Amino acid sequence: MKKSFVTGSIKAIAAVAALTLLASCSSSSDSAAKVKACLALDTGGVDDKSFNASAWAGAQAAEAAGAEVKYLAATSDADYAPNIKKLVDEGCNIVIGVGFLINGAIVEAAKANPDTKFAIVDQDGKDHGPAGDQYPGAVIDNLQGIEFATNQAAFQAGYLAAGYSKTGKVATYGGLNIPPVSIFMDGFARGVAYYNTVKGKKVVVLGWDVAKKDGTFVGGFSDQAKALQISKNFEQQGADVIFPVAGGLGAATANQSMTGGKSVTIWVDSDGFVQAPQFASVLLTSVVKGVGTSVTAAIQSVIDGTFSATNYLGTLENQGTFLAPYHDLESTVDAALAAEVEQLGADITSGKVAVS
Amino acid sequence: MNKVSKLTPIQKRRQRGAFSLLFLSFASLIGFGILQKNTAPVTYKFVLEKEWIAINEWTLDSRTGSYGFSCAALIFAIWAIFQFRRNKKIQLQSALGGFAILMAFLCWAASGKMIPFTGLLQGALLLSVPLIFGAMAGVLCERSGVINIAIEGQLLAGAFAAGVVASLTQNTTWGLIVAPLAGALISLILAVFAIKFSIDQVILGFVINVLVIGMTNFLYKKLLIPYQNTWNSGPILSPIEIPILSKIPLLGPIFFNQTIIVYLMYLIVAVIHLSLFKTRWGLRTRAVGEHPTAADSVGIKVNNLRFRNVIFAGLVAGLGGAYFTVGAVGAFGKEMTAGKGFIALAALIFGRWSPLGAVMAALLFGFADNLQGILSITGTPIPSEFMLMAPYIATIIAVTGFVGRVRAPAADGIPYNRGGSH
Repeated sequence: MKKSFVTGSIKAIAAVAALTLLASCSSSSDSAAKVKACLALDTGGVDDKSFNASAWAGAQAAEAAGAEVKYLAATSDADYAPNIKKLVDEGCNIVIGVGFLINGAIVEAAKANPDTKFAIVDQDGKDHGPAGDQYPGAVIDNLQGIEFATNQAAFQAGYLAAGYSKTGKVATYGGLNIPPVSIFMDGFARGVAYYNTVKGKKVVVLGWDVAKKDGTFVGGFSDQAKALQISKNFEQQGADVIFPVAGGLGAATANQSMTGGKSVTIWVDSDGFVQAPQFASVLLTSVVKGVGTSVTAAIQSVIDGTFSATNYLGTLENQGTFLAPYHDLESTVDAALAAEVEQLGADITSGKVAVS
Repeated sequence: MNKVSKLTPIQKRRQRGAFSLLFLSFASLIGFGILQKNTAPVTYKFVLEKEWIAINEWTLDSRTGSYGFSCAALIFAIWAIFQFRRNKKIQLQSALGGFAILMAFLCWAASGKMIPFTGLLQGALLLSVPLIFGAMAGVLCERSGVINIAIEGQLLAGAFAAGVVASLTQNTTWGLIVAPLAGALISLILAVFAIKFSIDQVILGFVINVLVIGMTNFLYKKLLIPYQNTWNSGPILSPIEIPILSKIPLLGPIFFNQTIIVYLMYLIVAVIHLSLFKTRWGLRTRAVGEHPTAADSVGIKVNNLRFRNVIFAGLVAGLGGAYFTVGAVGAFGKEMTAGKGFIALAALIFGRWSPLGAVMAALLFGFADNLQGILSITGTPIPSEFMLMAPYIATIIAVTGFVGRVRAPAADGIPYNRGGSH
């Protein structure tokens, strides 16, 4: 009696297991034809209206080209490696890490899973050794780095700001003095300097010293009160175009532009007109980093079978970085200046003008 | 004066203060004066807008300025030493000396540049606003014997509530009304667990901070970002110009052309300071903070009073939190208090648990913070990473040089159980 009950249950379990196995086999064979592209996001989450959101939008754009897309968001730094493993185990053809914090985990996963393709946004995708100090790093065959020459668009923004300024003073500040931030500030300052050379003017850049590679920083990306005070200080020093490179802290500057009425703001990373429409009346333009475009391109290369470990570099030419439209402030930008900025973009692409 | 006898603590403090000043003056004379190679002039701009008399600009040769101010500081330091030997207060001399050293530093650091002096002070006040509110909340709690590590959480809760409510109603007044209540709610958690259940107050406060950060981050992600237009686009308070006072040169634009939150801050500081030292409530509060058993024996309900004061503290800190949103940028941002609650706590200790002392400490911190910002704009010989440490360095110098050993209220952090071992 007892024995037959046990065998009975074992049979039942076996039957269920077999069914499940069958079901899972059939479902995976369905999608085998499609390229499965998966994003491993950082802690910002998919709705951060910034980096992660752009990457996800780029992945969704690739859906039209016939990719199956999904993402996993991390709740803490400890989630990166497990999330990537989960995605690899699920049979993703390409796993894209979003954000430089996730870099270490992606590099390890790429080495451990040579059959899966990987990409990492905002990093060079090389193995720099256990201490991360070997430059240039070793190429990993199944890992593509995605980088952006944002200084190209920032250079244009600097030229525009210099031409737009009535007071002859423009300003920029950053969250922290780290390369992904300072590249914008440096491009901006050099753009202003280029304007001065071309036009024989003396527009001053506050907040970034090209020679010293140092300038004004908030010391983080969350202190809105400090960012607001820095913006006020810039206005008091006479700056009438301010370019904050501090993620969400740009809102503090745009606020000061609105309440003080003495300056306009240049948004960073994404088109501020779309992302922060409440500031539309003071946003001159935005220096956009095309995270979405780059992610779409990476997925497309897997679909086409052209994926390689050669890095993707977002430039003005491939729309990986660009200056957003002037939107509401279009009428205040001199047509000749707008044309010059446009031409400057072409000159940067052709190599006629060096941005660094 | 008996030279052989030991110095009293207060004399020791004066001695330390006077000699620190002397040392710093010498350092300033050598560092900013003698080693100074730059002679480009420094321009101080004193005018902001709309004052009666515009002391517009004042230009000074940088090396001469450094020498002059350093020498002035030396004179003040020597004066302070004389005062100490005559067993008199040295506050005035310290303040003047500190100011002179600061001016010498500015002459050195901003050589060839312009310093917007009025803007510098106005920004300093604004950066200290949340610190002052936080420190006042600390005074209320700790003077009655409850450690309040949760100031950060109270500020953040206030900022969140004010931002969201002001956005939903499109009315800053509602934001200002709700913010203190949010702070008080956080205080209620602190009060119940610390006073009723005698939980370790440091751990409790820390946990409350983590809770508030987690809650606000969660709501920010799930509510404020997807529904930004309704939930997170609050209006901002506009400054109120006080008729005659706002026209006073230098002081007017700094103190009397501010938002209602800043005026409320003046009021709260004054009320807390006076009540703590001049009223029955204040005497009782200090008594339960120093010696609850004695207070109990004369019929003061120790835990009731503590409970009430902790809730008051929440109201004050919550209102301070409103500064971050309706007082400054309108919209709420993730963890936007950025550790200000902990700096407020430091200001409280550095100010020796006295309301006015804490205000001074908070102002010093805000000043160093804004000075750093302005100097980084004009460009200085000091790297920006180092400049960002300025507020903390200023605090360390002030604490070690001038404040010396501080003593917390004797029963701070010790739960009171009637009849229990204490």
